[in-house]
Amino acid sequence: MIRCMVIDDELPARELLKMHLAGLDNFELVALFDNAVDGFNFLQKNNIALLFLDIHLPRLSGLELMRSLKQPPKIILTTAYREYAVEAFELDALDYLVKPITRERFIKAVSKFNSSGHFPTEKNSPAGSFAEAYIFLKVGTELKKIYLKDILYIEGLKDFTKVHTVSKCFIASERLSYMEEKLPETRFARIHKSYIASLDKIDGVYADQVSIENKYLPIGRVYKNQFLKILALIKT
Amino acid sequence: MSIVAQRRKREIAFNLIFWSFYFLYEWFGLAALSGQYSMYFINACMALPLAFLVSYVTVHVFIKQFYNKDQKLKFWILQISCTIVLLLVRRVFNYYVIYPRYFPQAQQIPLLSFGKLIIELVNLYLIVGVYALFYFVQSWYEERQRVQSLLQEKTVAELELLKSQVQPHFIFNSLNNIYSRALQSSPETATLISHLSGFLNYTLYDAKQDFVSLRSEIAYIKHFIELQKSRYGERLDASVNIYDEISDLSIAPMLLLPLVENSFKHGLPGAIRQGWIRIDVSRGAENYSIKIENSVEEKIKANFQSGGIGIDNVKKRLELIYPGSHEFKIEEELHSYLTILKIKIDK
Repeated sequence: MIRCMVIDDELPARELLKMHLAGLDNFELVALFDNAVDGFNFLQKNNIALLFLDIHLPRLSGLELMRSLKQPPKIILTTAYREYAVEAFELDALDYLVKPITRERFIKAVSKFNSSGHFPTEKNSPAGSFAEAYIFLKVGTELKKIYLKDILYIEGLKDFTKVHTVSKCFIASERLSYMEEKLPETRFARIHKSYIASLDKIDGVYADQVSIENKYLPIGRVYKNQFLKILALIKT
Repeated sequence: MSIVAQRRKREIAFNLIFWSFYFLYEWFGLAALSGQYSMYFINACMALPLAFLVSYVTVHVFIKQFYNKDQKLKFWILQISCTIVLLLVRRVFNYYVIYPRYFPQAQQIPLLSFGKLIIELVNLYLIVGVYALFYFVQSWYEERQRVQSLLQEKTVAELELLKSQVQPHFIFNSLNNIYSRALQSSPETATLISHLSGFLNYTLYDAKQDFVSLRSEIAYIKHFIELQKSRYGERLDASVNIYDEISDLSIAPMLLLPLVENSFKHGLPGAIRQGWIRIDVSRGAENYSIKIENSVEEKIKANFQSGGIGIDNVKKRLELIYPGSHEFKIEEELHSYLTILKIKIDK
């Protein structure tokens, strides 16, 4: 168990950290103090691994406490002030949490304590975004939700478009040029006056055709250069 | 060079030009009619000193020292007596020194001819008037600028006052306490508080910088959307998609919010059934693009098209911050409205 301690002069703030810690398995909250002097005395006699420390405290400030400790525990600062971050990291703070301290941010900070990797650090992966992205299309009077990853290609038909997806096709009231504008240009490309293709779905590229799920679509001369450029960019 | 010295220089230049023109007018302007150039040269030499003296004294001494200091009676007495004395001095000088030598025929008119004196007075005051006009315009312009900069200073001061009254740490401490309480009683409220804090944090700190990371700008927009969602509930579907790596990109703050706000303001309140808004961020080889698309109900479309002051401001700011390196366009369909902003990537 990792022995933790909290110093904050405001009760709800202490309670918040207590709640956050209660949700974690390996951490044990040993002591809570509303001032740094009592905290300092406690630290002299007890073994603490991780300290959550407010900065603005009566009598002795959090930063002063950090400077006065000879063998400090790992310290995560919790404050409503932004301006002491540089100073805090110069004093070897593990992290600097600006209030209000949300659960997600708290976990991220604590995960720095045991970087062995108990908590996978979340990363915003762009690829995931495409898998989840969707658009709404007015199909007749209905509003249809269509995932971008399901779209094979889009066919322009004068004032409306036919959206071919893996399972079905929909007639939408939007023009093909509008579709071209609204779809992400790194995922979809106009290949012809009447076609937009999903780059992910292209199986083969030929001199003047592409194939998508056994269907061959023409490449328009006007669009060819731009299309090949995007393909090259995606591959790198 | 100090402002005072600059002003002085400008004034001297103006006076030189003004009086040279006057002299040339008195000489050539009149001489061109009769062809008597040498005669009118003398005339111009006689006209210039008096016109200069009266104009100068009127503007720089009488108006500044007396009229503008509310000593109107003193002003009029001095102005009138000075004019009469100077006119008479010149008349006498002309009559006894200049006329016998150059214009003997002019002596046929009596020395104190009322008509002659009136003509000279009017001619004199036409010039004084033109001369004074320059200074009137100048002082009017300066006054206007002064008022404007005063107004500006006042706004800045008020803003500073407001900022000092609203202490951010007090707000964030309070939000932390409320968040703590809410986490026990109503986790949903806690989530809203965290979004509100994120929104405030950005407004109070990040928005003051020239550029912020695109990531934090998008995070800010997400906070805004989450807060809006609580107003619209199930009727609103909002999604933010980031298709490519953007962690190295930056953007001027507060460009996207007005666009998103606009989408909410105009695209959603009229929606009886489902309304939606979608924000897409993608990155090409030369630029990155942000697309904001929202549903539009046909009946409120007319109000929406104008775009509003928010959009105009964004356009103006884009022109200032990204001249020649951005693209901004709005596309419309029957049921949707699409705003596209593309910004060139600095390499």
